[in-house]
Amino acid sequence: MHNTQLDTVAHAGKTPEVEQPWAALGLNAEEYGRIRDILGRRPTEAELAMYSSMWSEHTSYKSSKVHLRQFGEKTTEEMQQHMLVGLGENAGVVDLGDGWAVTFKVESHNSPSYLEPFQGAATGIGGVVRDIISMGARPVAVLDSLRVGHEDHEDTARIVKGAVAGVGHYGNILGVPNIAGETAFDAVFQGNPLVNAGAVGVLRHEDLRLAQASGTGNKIVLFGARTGGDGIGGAAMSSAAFDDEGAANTPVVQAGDPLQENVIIEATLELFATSLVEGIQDLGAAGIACATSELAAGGDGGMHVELTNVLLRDEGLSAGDILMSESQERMMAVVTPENQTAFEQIMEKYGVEYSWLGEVNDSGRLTIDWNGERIVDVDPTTVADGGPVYERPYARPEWLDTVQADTFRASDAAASLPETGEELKAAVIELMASANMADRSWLTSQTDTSVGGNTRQAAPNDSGVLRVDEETGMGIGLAIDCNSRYVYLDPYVGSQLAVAESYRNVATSGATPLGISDGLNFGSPEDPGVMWQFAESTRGIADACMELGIPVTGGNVSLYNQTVDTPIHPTPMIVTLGRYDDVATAVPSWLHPAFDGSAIYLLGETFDELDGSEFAHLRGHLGGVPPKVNLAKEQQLAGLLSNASRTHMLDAAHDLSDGGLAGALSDMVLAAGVGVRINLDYITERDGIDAFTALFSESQGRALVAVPLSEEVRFRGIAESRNYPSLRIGVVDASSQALELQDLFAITIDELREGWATALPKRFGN
Amino acid sequence: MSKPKIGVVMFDAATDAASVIRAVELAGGQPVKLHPKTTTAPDVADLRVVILPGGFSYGDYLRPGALAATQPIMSVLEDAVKAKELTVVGLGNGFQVLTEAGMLPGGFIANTTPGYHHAEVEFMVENTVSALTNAYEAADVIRLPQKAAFGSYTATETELEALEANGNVIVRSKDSSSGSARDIAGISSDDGLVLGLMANPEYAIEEGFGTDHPDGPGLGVDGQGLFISVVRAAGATNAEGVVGA
Repeated sequence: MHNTQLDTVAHAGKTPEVEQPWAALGLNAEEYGRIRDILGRRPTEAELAMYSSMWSEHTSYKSSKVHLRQFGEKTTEEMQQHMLVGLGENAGVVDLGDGWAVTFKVESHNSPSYLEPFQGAATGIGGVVRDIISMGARPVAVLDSLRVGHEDHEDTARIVKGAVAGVGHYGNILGVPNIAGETAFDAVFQGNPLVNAGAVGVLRHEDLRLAQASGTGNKIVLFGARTGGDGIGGAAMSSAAFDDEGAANTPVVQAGDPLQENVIIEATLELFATSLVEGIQDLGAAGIACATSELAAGGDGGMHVELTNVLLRDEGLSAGDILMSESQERMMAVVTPENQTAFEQIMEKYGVEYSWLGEVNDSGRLTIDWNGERIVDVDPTTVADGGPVYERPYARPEWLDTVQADTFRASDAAASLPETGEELKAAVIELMASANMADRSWLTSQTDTSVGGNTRQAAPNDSGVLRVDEETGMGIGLAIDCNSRYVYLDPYVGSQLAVAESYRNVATSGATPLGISDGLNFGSPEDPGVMWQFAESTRGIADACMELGIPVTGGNVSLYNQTVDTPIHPTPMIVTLGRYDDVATAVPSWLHPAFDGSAIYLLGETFDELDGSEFAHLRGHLGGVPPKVNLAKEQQLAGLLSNASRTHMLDAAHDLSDGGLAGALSDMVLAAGVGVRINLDYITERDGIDAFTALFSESQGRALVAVPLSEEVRFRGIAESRNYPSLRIGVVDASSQALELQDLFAITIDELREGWATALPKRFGN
Repeated sequence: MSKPKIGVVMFDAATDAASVIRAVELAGGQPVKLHPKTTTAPDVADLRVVILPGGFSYGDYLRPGALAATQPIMSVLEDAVKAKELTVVGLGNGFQVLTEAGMLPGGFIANTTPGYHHAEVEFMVENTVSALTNAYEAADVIRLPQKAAFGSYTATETELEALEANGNVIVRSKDSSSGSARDIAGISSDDGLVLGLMANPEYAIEEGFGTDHPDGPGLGVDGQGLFISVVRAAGATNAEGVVGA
């Protein structure tokens, strides 16, 4: 791209025959032709860079758009009643009442995190936090969801250690607590791990800001870090699969500077508080190219930029490089001429560098000059919103019949299943020592969960709980979930199960679910089988949300997650946001010694559902169909749980998901070393199943609750009146120091803890 | 009676500052934010106590506390301490700033287990007259969050002996998990006007948002006493008056 002659608009008009590197920039011939048609000439180098970045899959959603429309269509007025800002903006905004609102979002940073896990994950947090600031909100929490390769593969430690440290490093220095997350290990993610970072912000209604450049004569300003050569072409890279070498061929991972972002957050919030900005946009994928075209397209449609004014870290950058650079910690704002001085004073107060780039006009064109010569002259809507939209062909893959027919029960893996007390005991210990079920404190102790002083609950609880209003105690609950194996076995049902689990987790902690945001991670959309998974998954999510009566508030799509021809398991990560009138009613997911003597109830029914389960995974089997989903039941259960917690009937509540009853009981017991006595007979008799199934089946719509003796009558009353299956299966026995299943086995807590506590540290250090 | 004013230095990325401010308010003090670039004494002239809050001042770049220690306000604070007009308290990273600035002896090295970790730790209060610990009884055991990547206190044998001999070890960890020399967690200068604690008591001040407690999760509020101590010190007629030297 470094030609000796500057490729100006005038020059491009005179040299239609120049060969341009459109293919290397990720465009196809048709797309390139379309750009020439729009402009009536060939694009300049800078214009080509802009179009290719903005029309990339990562930025334009060209393959996913037709399916994402359902999220806006399958909705009702009632579902939208709490939405202040819906789909299409940087992040959706949900009303919390009393003038408060919350915005939340999850974003993928998968390909950079494979190449450089620490920086990839760190800048993933940085980017999603800037999205939240752009809405006018103060970031109050981050969360993360990781999918990495097999726990014993030689490359896994590099990824998981780097990603966890990166998430921690960046979030910690920002001073934003990490309150929820999950990590799963599976060989299918070996060459293409998933690193999704989420952020949550709160704001007062009047502080809401959108990415719009309105008002002719208003000034455009770039502030924050200087622009360097890092991350050029990142958006295009994220839209390509890794090749055999396992990596793209250019250094495209950006380096993060969380101190800079910390200062930018404070400076930006002061700009909002003093009403000094008309519109604001963070710089992420495709940098200045994206920010200028989106701001202009969202406003009055015209903007002029002097690219020479951009402050650089490296003076050798070409105009195209400057437009495409994905240097972190940069923001772009629109400021009225009267407010310029006040704006500058705030920047100087915080020691933040800024440069005035240009102004808004009513020309309908985005024009960019470099050293006095015009290098970009485009209609910004054609760049920001005019990209191609594909109706990619999709078809149910043929292999799926074979996979679904291969049920766990009929497989060799089930040839000998644990039956006796001793065998079941060994299986529980083995399950809890597996990488997917083991103690997460090695991960979570590396992130600051309490900074800000509003964290009511974080790991190892089912959901993170955060106070928003110190006066009233009003607050939010958040959980992020997805069982990728279920989605692989049946993308429609599996995606509904992801919604159900996330929703259930928030309700289990006592909140009322208000909405979801999704992070959709799939393989190549050019593979009709993958595209079918995507179509089915989005249909499943939209239908589930419609039935649960909660809106999809926003989301992120990451495609081309595959190694050569092998796509990842489709992974639509679902974040559910819930609301508390007062976070003091939040319920922990584990047993505290103070809960001694409380009764343990199992809510919901257990069926023989082991396909895709954690137990089947432990035995190396993946086949069959996922558990049945019953969203009406999930809604009933959520209502029951949030009602019981709001009225102080519960000591603890834990949803049943990965690892079924065995996993949930062990989690509850291990967190603080508090024993329980359980009798499985009640379950096996009522549901007509054996002890093994009762322990390891992953049937949905279930939760364990600990109810103080004083509340049992009331609790039984509401479970009965709501007609939800409920069984008293045991009691908390704090002094027993054991997980005791009467007439079957007793595991001392020390015995159970040994493998559980060491599984991650022994592999990944410390 | 007006509330005693307590300064809180707002170093960039001193991420615990907001919680320290809340803790000062709950303890009955009136927090006053101080800009780290302040070079003139008037900003601190009517203050008896200034807190350097914890977090990751200046991103922990170079070394934790190293860049904060070079901020202009530090010499203003040092001069006021020399004039016996001010008590300076460093919490967590704020303690690191004080050792980096040479206002307290010793320094900090990486945790025994490398990397940032947060955990709840039990401490023994060994000095009940300092500006930071006067609200406790001797041998009180308190449970506080501790968040650090470089949380191990170290000093020369001579310095350690001097700290012990002068009763300047004010708080000690109950176990050796921090890797600190002699399990030291909190120290005082000889004149009692400069104090540091490697812990984050500002996250153990509100029921439900505190540490683990026998009565239930998050009910531990042992950090309150540290802020009550500081507010008492600030309310005393003069800074020396509360240091029972």
